[in-house]
Amino acid sequence: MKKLTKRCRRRVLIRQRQARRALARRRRRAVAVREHLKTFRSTVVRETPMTPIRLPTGAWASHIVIDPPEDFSLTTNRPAVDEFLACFRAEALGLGGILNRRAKRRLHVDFRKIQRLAPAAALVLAAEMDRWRRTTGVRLAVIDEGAWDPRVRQMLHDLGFFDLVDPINPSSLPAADTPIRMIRLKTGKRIPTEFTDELEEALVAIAGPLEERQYYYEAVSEALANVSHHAYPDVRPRDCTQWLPHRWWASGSFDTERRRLKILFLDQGIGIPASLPTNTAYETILGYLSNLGLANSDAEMIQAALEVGRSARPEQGGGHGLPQMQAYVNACNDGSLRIVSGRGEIIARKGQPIERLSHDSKIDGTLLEWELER
Amino acid sequence: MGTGALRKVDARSTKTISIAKDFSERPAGRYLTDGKFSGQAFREKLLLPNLIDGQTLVVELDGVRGYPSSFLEEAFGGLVRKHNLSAADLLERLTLSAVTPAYRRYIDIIWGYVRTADKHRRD
Repeated sequence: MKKLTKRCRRRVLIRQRQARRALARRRRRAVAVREHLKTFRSTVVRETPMTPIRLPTGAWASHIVIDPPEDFSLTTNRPAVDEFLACFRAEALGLGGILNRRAKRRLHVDFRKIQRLAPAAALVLAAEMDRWRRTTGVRLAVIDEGAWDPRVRQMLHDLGFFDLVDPINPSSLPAADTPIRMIRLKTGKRIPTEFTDELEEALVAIAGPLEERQYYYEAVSEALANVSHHAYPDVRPRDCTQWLPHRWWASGSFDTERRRLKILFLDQGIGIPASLPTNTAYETILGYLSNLGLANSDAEMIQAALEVGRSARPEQGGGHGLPQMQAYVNACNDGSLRIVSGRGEIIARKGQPIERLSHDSKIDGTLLEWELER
Repeated sequence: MGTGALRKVDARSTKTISIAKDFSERPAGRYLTDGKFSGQAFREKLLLPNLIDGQTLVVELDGVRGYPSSFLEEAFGGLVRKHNLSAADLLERLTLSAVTPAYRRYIDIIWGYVRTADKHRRD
């Protein structure tokens, strides 16, 4: 047998090491796939008994369907909505997305299941569709729009949802009578100069002239600034879904029966609680929590960030954005500011103590909702 | 402090700038990366060049859509934090003016940012 030279032995050792590493990667991947299937495929996702659909290209595709909850609201049904969104992200962007593309399985969401849709949840849903579209170039295939709840369909139509998805058999359906009017989704990066005016124009079209326009301008500008400076750090944490850096989404709604205007603003960043440790006011915030005997839950961190920005003196000049967002509500007749971030949620109503809520599941990024009485 | 419209200044060495007319009616953002009309842009293009020795500067606040806190803090607090001017210097050389009542509240807010930045500069 030919004696191996030193150089050959070295090459053999390197190849053996590479083979061992590749095997370990395949085993880890197999474990991850089994965990993914165990977590999601047994609950919200189902193998569809539907007839495979014929695509416009003439090809046939099998599909996997995710069922959203009937009550699609972050206020009244947060756990189910969070579970649906996590499942959708896993099947569209995560490991599930890779599995589906390899198996040529098309992903669907059965929107016929939704009977009630809240404006804030609609914005979050549209932003997820937009993220998937921009990240992968693939649009969610939508079928049977005619069978959706008419009011849900109308809200999504007003929001501009159908520009983000791919209707398989588009058809023009009559407008439905719904008390909630939504404005078209707006999205962008950084701080576009004309955005506040465009948003105001759209809000005025559904709800009439805004009061306290100066406070409105400052609140929305600070929301944009917060996204620009804090929401998307340079390095995405490993536990965060693939994101679109510096991107935000905004919309609004007007409930003609309850006379309530909502201004909605969303980002898909790391969230306020996760961004605070890098904030120069963090020590002040921890001191505030300690003085009041509060724990470091996400809801308490958000409240502390709001209170510290209002009353204390942050070292490097930041921290005044959240109080300025709240100031808009306080300047109007009546209303509230709701901040949903991480597992925490606070509602600051005019003239009342701040209400804190903690949830078991996390929302991606931060949702701001100004609700104003008209 | 803050009632700049009532202070007497030497007219020969005083310059007046209006944020709305000379900069933007829609100031927003803190840094240059945020957009053209950020606090940093205002400070570097209009405030600093005009705060030269022997000259006082009057800044008119009227006429804008509003003043986000990040803009004001970076523009005026940044004079202390980034350029090492003291609050005493600024009080002597900078005057804030607001004719419309809706804009007068910003005068105290701005001097608050300047005082805070000065306190931390000295600490």
